[in-house]
Amino acid sequence: MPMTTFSLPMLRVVTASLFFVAVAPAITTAQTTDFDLPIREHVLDNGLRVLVLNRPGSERVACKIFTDFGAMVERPGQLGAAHFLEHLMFKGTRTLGTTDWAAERPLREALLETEADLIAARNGARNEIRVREVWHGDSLPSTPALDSIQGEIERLESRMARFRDNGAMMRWYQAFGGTNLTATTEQEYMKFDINLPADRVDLFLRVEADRMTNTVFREFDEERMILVEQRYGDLGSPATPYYEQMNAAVGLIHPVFWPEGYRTDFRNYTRDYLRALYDEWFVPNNTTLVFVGGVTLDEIVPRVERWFGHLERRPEPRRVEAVEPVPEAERRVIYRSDEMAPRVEARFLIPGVGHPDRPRVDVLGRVAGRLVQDALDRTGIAGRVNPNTRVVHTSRFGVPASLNVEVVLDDEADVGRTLPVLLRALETIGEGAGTRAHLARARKELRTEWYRTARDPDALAFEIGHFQTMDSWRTLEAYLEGRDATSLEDLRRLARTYLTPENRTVGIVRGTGEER
Amino acid sequence: MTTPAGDPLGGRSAPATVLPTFCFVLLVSGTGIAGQELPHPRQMDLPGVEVERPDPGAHQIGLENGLTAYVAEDRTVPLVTLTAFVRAGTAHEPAGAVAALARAFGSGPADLEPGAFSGALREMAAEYRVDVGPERLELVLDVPAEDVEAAADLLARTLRAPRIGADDASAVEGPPAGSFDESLDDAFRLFRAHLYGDHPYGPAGAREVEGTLSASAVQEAHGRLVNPGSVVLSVGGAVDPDAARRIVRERFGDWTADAAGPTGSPPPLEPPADRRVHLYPAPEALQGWIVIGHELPPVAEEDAAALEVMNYILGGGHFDTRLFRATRDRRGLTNDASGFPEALVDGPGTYTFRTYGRPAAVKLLVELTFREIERIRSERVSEEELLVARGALSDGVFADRYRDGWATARSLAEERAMWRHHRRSASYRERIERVTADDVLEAARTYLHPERMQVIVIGPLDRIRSAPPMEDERSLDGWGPVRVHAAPAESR
Repeated sequence: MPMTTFSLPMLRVVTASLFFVAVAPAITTAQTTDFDLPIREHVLDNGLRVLVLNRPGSERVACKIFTDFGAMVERPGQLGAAHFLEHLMFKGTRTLGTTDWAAERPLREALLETEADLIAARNGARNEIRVREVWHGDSLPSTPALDSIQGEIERLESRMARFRDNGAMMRWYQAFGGTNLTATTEQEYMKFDINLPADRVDLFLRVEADRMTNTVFREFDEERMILVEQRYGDLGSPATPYYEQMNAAVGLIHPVFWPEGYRTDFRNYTRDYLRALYDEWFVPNNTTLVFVGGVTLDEIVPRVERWFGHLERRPEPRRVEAVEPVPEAERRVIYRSDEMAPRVEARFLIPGVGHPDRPRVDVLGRVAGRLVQDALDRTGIAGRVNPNTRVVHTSRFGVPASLNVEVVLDDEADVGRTLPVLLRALETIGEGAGTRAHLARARKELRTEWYRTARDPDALAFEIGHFQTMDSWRTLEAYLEGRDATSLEDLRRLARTYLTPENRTVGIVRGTGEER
Repeated sequence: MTTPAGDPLGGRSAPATVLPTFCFVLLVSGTGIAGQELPHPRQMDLPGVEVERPDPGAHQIGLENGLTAYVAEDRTVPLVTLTAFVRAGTAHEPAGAVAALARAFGSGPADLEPGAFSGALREMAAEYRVDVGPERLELVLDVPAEDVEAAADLLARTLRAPRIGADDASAVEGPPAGSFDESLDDAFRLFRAHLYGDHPYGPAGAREVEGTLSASAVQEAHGRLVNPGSVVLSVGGAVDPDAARRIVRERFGDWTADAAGPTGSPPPLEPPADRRVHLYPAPEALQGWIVIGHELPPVAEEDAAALEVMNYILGGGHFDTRLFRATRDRRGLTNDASGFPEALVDGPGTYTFRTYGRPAAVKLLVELTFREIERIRSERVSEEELLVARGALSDGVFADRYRDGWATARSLAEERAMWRHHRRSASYRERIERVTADDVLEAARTYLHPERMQVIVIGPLDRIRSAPPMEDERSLDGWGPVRVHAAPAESR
């Protein structure tokens, strides 16, 4: 039954998604009052990394498989391909998701040959199908020849449909007590998650070893339409185009700032491109398994060896070479919308995880939020401050991203006078504003949020795996301690270093009417 | 209950036809499993699972004034969650009073200014929320363990004597009549308005309460509805059980009240007798949002397991439901299509199916939803579907409810607050394991009545209605009398 919620707004940096946790009876391990993370590691000969944080007494395990692969490897025209690949990796393998692989296989091979013809034909027709219109729609130009080949692809897919066993990968996880089955792809990682009874973790190993090596791209066009639906859902939020424009202004070239894909990109996807991504990146030496709950490293390693040990180390996938250039000038985005609340914000490039300043930026954001709110209150501007480090959906990266200080206003008439108040409040940090009380509160907020993450084995496993893809799991504890050790002098130095005009992108949202 | 080792699905074997036509037998060697020799999960000999529901008596505190609390220690992290379940909701009289109370609870105790209350919570880095439904209120306060005494103090003072202002009493409940946003949530709200009309279990917005409540009336409702007999507390996390007992006694032990909570049964609901289609225009929307459903009476304990298994198979919110496969997997029509049986204890809940998609797909989404509802009402589910659902619910969903101290305290308290006993959790796994295909069929026929489901669609109606059929789906008019409602006068 629907419940209405009344909550007090809390300043909170968006971190990992929260998932349901594993079952456990009441446990009485020693109370954790610091950031002790007893993670144990084993690396197979083929490079597969295994990370285990044992919680004695827990009867379930949060299991995750992280691949050091995400949207940052995409190329323009194929944005969203990494996320699409995740969808396809739910469609089954040669052993799960089909009723007759022997019959399906030759049709798949014919399909790939036909798609190769399509790709060649598209390349040959490049001048015929090039988009030249500025105000173009979502559809891409085509030719009768291309349409004919596409029709043959659809006929082949239709013939293969009778062999499909939809949902097989998920079904058996659930049948054996799996909960919180999900997957996520962001700029720097792809992960698959499941919570299982501790004695059934082999099921995770079996399924994921299969998924990593034997995925078959079924229902390609149907799943492409799901991305369209998700894109429509995103566009249903009036803020989505604004955030995309802001990201584009904050980051000049680095793909971490690129959006999740446009509908024109979705039409460009080919099995060939997706397969190339899959073959290059989904290799054991680019993969980390994370377990939090009722298993130990000693218990899990032989089992991982059994299911993954036969896989061969492959060439290291390409690294993302882009480096965001040093900013030279302030940028401004003026966004007109009658559906968004008026807002003023400032964004600043910040270093990536692994840089010693990055954990301290979290503290800076909290303190900045408090100071800006106080300044607004003193000035009589009704607004709510939301400091965060979110780019698209994620808040931490191994590469430079942004610290965003957003002010959402009650009255559009305040837009003009809010920006100087916001910028001045941020400047004062570098000049020494910010008290020990501010610092203490920020540290306590961040520490408590970490405890909420650590309480949840899924969320904790996410952080461990995410840090591995951004930098190294070994730096997670130091990151947390770095936040806790932030001093007032650190805040001043960070403000003078990063909260500068040339490092700044300003966003202003107001209605389409006359400015008041 | 322990499932037999070596046969985790209870010893039942599925017919051979449901297995893939090839099924490799695994020969495990010390060098590992070669890439193609992957066994089907059912051939993996996975062990059985024991899931023990904690003994409520071991966690229970009972005060002389009738208040009950549950405590579960867990020191994984230094956090404590305090929850108060109140057995009173928006369905209780006078209309609007409990919604007003919920707002008041959000403001803190009467002897503290709202700014001071929110400031105190901020200093603790607390998370605090108040939820309200037709039959219950829930106040949840999560704090660092070092602040548990102060937090308990604030929660107790708020619960016992909230700050009830004139604003709380007079606030209009819900959005203006006739307004809606382009969302599934609003499609569901409109559905509830059509289903319930002026019934007290309906959405608050269905009843005009502006200006009809006084602060004193809300105060009186608080005294009558919120008292030791109607409140169940939970304390979970990094707190010593003896300390938790002391905290509860110190802050609630002297709480007395003459009243004993809501009395009387809710009036019967006269739901719509036939199927109707309600269309709400959103001309610029990129998608249409669809809710299809009807009321759900309180579910007898003997039916609950079969209903849960049935819905798990049909539309239980995971990736392998019949609805998901039909609409998303095979056709790419939607990102989600799920069923939501939301049963209540005393009065009528709802059973709805919710989905959304591009305008061209809306009619087919409606068609497929009804088609799958009819299918589960007319054909037995397969043994494989049954096995999967039982395993998922028994070894997964149920186990999750007692995953740690926080969840244990909460689950025990919630069950006590709503049902006054713990029989349901004690027998849950056994009841789920006993469900047969005939039981599922019976549950579908008892609790699904497509002939009188209400169909709500918000979206670009012109594009939806004029879209050519994708398969052989009916037009929206084919499902019943259609009413096109006016566009909202203003957006919220």
